[in-house]
Amino acid sequence: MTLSRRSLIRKAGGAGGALLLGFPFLGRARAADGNGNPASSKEDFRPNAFLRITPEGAITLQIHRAEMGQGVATGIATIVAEELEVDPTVLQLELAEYHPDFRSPRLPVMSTGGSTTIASNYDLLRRVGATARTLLIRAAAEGWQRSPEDCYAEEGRVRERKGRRSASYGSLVAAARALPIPRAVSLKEPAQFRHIGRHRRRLDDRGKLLGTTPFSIEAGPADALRAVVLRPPRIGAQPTHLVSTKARAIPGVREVVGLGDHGVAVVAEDYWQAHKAVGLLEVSWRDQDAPLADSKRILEEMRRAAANPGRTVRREGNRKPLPAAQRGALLEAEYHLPFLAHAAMEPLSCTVQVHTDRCEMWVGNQAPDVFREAVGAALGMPRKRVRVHSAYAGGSFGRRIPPDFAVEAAHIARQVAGPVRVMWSREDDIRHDRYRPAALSRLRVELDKQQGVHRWHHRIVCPSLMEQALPPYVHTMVADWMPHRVGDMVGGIVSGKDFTSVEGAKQLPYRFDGVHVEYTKFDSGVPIGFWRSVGHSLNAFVVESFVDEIAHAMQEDPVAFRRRFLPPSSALRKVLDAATEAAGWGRAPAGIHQGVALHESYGTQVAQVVELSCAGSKPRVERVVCAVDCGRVINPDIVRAQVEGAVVFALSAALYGRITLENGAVKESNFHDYPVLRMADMPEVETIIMPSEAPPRGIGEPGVPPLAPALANALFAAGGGRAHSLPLADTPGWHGVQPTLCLGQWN
Amino acid sequence: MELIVNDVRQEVEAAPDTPLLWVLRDHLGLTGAKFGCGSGLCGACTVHLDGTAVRSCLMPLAALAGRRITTLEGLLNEGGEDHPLLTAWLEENVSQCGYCQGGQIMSAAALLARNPQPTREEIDSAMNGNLCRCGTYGRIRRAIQRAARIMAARRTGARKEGRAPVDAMAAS
Repeated sequence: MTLSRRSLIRKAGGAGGALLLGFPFLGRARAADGNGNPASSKEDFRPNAFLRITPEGAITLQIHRAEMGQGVATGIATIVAEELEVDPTVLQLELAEYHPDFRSPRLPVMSTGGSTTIASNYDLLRRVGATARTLLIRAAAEGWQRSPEDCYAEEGRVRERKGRRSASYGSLVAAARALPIPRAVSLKEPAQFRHIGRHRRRLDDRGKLLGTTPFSIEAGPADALRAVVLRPPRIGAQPTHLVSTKARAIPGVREVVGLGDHGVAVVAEDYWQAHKAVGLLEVSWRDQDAPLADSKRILEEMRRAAANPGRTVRREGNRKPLPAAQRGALLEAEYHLPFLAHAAMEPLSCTVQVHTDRCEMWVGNQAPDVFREAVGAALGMPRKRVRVHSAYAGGSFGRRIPPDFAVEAAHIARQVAGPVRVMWSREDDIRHDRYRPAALSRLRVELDKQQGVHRWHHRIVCPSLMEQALPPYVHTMVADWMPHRVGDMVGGIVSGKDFTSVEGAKQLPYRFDGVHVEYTKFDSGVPIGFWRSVGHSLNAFVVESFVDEIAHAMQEDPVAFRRRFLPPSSALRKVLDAATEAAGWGRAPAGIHQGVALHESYGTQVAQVVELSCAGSKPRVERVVCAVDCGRVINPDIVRAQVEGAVVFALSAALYGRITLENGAVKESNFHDYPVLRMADMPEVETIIMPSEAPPRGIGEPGVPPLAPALANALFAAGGGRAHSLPLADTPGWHGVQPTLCLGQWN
Repeated sequence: MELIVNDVRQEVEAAPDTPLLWVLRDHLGLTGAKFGCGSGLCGACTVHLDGTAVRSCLMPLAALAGRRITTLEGLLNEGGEDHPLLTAWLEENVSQCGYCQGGQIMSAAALLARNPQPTREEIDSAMNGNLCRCGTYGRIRRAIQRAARIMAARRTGARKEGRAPVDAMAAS
């Protein structure tokens, strides 16, 4: 690097500068036009918004979903390459800007989430590749005066079946461009697949390992100023008095920007200056009249709410209590779960440049159109004037769905000339997250004297995610001129019926005699958001733990119990059998205790067996055996990686995850008091992928929900008592084991 | 203030308490070292200081005059053959989001430089300061073992051909 960033900023003339080191455009390519049409030239073959082939044969594919580690870039490219008859490694991948054709077939938003990328785009992407292939073959055939059936495509060339002629895709670009787009194209037979279903390396990792691929925290103009925000110390606190003299005295500080109730931002030349200056701001805060958020009080209030009936979301089967003569045990339990932070490896950041009548941003995000709509609305600009450059994200787990951090950055950037990158510290990230909601469940079930289970009753109390999350999506789906009240109203209407709060509980798969599931919306006053597997992360723990309690009350093996109540040919029973068989259920060596759980989410069935050893007094998760049925698999190694990752993510949460509210503030702040799993605690993970020819289903999230209950069930089997809440580090049965800390470790 | 970064002398103007991480990222454009926690708890910022792995978010500029700093870019972008750690990481499909992996590789490089045949316990101990939220620890472990084998084979190959063994960690 020969030109320092500082000298760049100075050349730009400081705050008034407009030196933009954005995207170099080479040769005769036309610049990307900000309306979803990426850089291309008139000579390129562009059969659709996804693909572009140059006369030189370079093939560029737009990746229209967020790559956050789940492997969608590789998956999308593999599907397109398969039908296009090229090796996936020849595709140049670009993270797509918004284009209407990139919206989901299921929902008119270009959003990534719900483990839907491959499942909802599989057919579309096959047609994308097949359309281009069909046109290239037709172009070659016409040039050779043959019929297209006499030609075929292979490895980037079209060839004659009976003949020696062949032509590269590049050489066919001019002819292909002139052909009309066919309305129907034939797709390959799965037996012909060369790439789909095969192990392959990821396509995006080399640059990341070399340090050359920019993440969100590096994306955008090199001369962007840096901003750090002083955020309210308590939820709802408002700034009343600001003295910024000392902050402004730090060399390099350019601006101090008030953000109303949101806080105060310092803009400086580099992050360290902004960070130090924020520490020198003198701000008084006034709390509102409402009681300060507090975890203990929230739990008590949820308990009180659970004493009353909620709204029934499912009721079927037997409603009558058992006659006295038949009654066996009556089981009741209350479970509660804490708020959880996302804590992705990359803290949030967003780079924005606001011009008079347009805005440009660079940010890792899960919905470019939602982001541009929200920022446009905040700046009073039509959404078409807002351009979102997506970036690779260092994890997200759902944090990058709400556009709040982009709106914040836009408010700061509009006060400053030139681009600004707003950077969140780890403390900001953990203390000002949108948390996985806390929740409380009451369950009750009646057992008879013949191993029957009657009147399963599950009452759920938790906040409504949809109320907070839906409005930005509705605003995006409706016209620019539609007032935001509409989106807010829809969110409010849906909130009472929030399906995310009951997912995984409403769909209880067991054939008990009578099932009743209720939901009560509860307002915690704490910001909440989507966290990997959402409502399933709450309800699977509760359901699969209570099912285990029932099995033990009946003195029945937990696997045999589950098999008894699952339909015989169901996918859930098959993954249960596969996982327990592979784990040698019931035959574990001495000192190893096994727990099982199964769960279906996002269309995918998963069963897990957790094996716990208790050498000395410290329990340790030794192995997790998972069986997964997610339909046809595009890349088996990525599926395995997602399952391993989900296990580690869920294990961190189950062992240590807890966000504590005290006096309106989040207590935790960094990895010393919000610990996550480290390498020494990593178990062996074995994954069995059930073979399937069914269309692909989701895998980003489904590995998460069964882990916590399988672990709790193993702990019970080990004599550690029944965990009715998480994290287990707070549970007596875990012997008060604390996670290992690493402070400034030197190798 | 003059630093030696990847064998190149760099003149840096920044406050003396600026951590090396921000000197690298904001002043020298070397973004291989990543920001994860700012408190030495996650390892994403790991670089080598005179050959030892350190957390650059905790190293103030004032302490670095004349010291030799090696970043991920310096370790891996030597030209020619891929570094054994890069090869191993790619072959094991380690990376998911990739954000922590630069720091993981730097810690692994320091481990292998002083312990070319680490046991599994030694790997876990040396790598315990590097967090991965995507859960790639099992693959990192296997990749370190694979890199160790590659490096051992290169040393053996060099000896067989009568060459002096090439130190794959030459960048430090």
